Amino acid sequence: MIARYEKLPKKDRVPLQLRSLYEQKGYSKFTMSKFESYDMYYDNKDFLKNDGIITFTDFNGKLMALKPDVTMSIVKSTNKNSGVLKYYYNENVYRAVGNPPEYKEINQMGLELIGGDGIYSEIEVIELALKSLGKISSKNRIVISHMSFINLLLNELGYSNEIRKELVEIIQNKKIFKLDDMEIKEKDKEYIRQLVNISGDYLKGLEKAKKLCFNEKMKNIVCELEEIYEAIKLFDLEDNLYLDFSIINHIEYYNGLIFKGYIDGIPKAILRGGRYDRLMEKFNKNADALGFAIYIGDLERYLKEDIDYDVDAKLIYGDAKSNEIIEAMKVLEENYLSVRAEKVQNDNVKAGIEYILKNGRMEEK
Amino acid sequence: MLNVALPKGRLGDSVYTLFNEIGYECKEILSDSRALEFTDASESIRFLLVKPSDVGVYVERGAADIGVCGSDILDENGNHIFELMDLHLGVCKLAVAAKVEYQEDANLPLRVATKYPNIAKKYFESVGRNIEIIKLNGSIELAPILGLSDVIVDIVETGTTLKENDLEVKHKIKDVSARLIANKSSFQFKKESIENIVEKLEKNIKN
Repeated sequence: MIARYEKLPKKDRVPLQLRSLYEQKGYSKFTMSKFESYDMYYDNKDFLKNDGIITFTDFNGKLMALKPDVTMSIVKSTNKNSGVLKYYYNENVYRAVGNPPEYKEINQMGLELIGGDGIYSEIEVIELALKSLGKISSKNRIVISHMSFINLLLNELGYSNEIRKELVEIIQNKKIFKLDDMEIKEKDKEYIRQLVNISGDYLKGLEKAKKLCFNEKMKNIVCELEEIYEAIKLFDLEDNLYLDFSIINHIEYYNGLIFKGYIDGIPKAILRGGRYDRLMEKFNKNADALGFAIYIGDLERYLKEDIDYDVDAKLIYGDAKSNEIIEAMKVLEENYLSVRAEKVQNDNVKAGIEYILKNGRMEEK
Repeated sequence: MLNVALPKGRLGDSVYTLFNEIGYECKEILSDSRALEFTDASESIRFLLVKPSDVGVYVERGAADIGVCGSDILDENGNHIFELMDLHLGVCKLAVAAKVEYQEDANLPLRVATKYPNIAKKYFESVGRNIEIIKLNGSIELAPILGLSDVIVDIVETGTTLKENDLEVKHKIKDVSARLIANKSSFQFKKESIENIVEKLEKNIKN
């Protein structure tokens, strides 16, 4: 029997489905080596949030790193003559996670669109993000936010860095009650409350956002967000698109659209993405850059299917001669997808059906 | 069905009373039962009785959709959750305390005994003081008495425990109260039920 794609467990099928989704849109596969000189990462550690980089010294005593992030690798590999790059990847990266730090191998699958232009690039990336989640579960959402919108609002309110930091924390954690005790103007508190309340329905959120526009730049962002919604409607996926400004990331790297993807039943966001032109600037590679990563590792537990047995059939061959075993296996392999030959019965591997080879004949157990 | 993590103990009882007042009844919780999960009469809420310092973990990892947790524990552990409400319960403060007659020697690193190493580090960094942390899990007041530490960082309610041990508050760090927290993913998919509860709790607390 020929092994068929549909028979693969879901956790193996999903990356293949995603791969085909991205290739259909003309994205090519990016593969990366595992090690890199550490100094590239030293200046941009914040990009990895609080995760640490795993380092080692090479034979020349130079400090090397196990690659912690695919996006940074891709950014580093671009140059002025690269043109428009559309890459997808499925790679393992390595980080020291948690407190105390634990070394982890993290499977990241995602894509990058570098050198793109204007609104269509953003639409394409969001379309692919939505469709990616759709391959995993129909109960999904992409939640959109915008770093510039938040920053322009905070700039307009114009408080000290310390107060600004507190306001960012309030927006990020939806802690509106904290505003009550803060020494800022009442009307400013109201603006923050309204920003935090943009949490869910996209169109209703846009209406609320319009009321918070202090200047042209902010109005343009709302237009951008509106255009994205209208475009996604053409894919019939607008019901999975939500707006929520609690999604905030490092302003030094992310200056525009950012988003997270959630699946009902998985407690963490399994997709994270956005526009990271600023990271490109830091590497002196000025260009438009958009992308997202899906944390396949977090999905595995969710995608696990209950199976009754590990192999379809088992052949217990006992003292049978090799040529008899081979003939018996040939017959079984014609009829079953997976056949396991064992000398004696053992319960570690469960089979749907078991056959015993005795005196040249196969008997069902 | 919404999973709600409640802290075992006095705070959990007060929180259950609040939920009862807004219409979620589950008498078994207040009985002597050793069970740790209880479903309410309308079968729309499942209460989970959890160690107070673990509520944040349950909610962050989605084992509970929402929960009630002291802000001291949230600050110490830095859980990634939404902090939706201040319930104004379990009100106390985080403070630096020491023996009444304690005189600080600014030339030596300060030895700080505490259950809250992250909060202590952050506070002393903000005032530019060099410290050595001694992490303890209980009876923190003993540490300065035995000379194990110079000061402690701990929660203070009435101050009676400190007084009885000849200690006093030297600096207040911040106020503490119980917060209603939510898992960020559950907030997306169970938004209505969560916001419904928040609204009812807000109305109840106002009165």
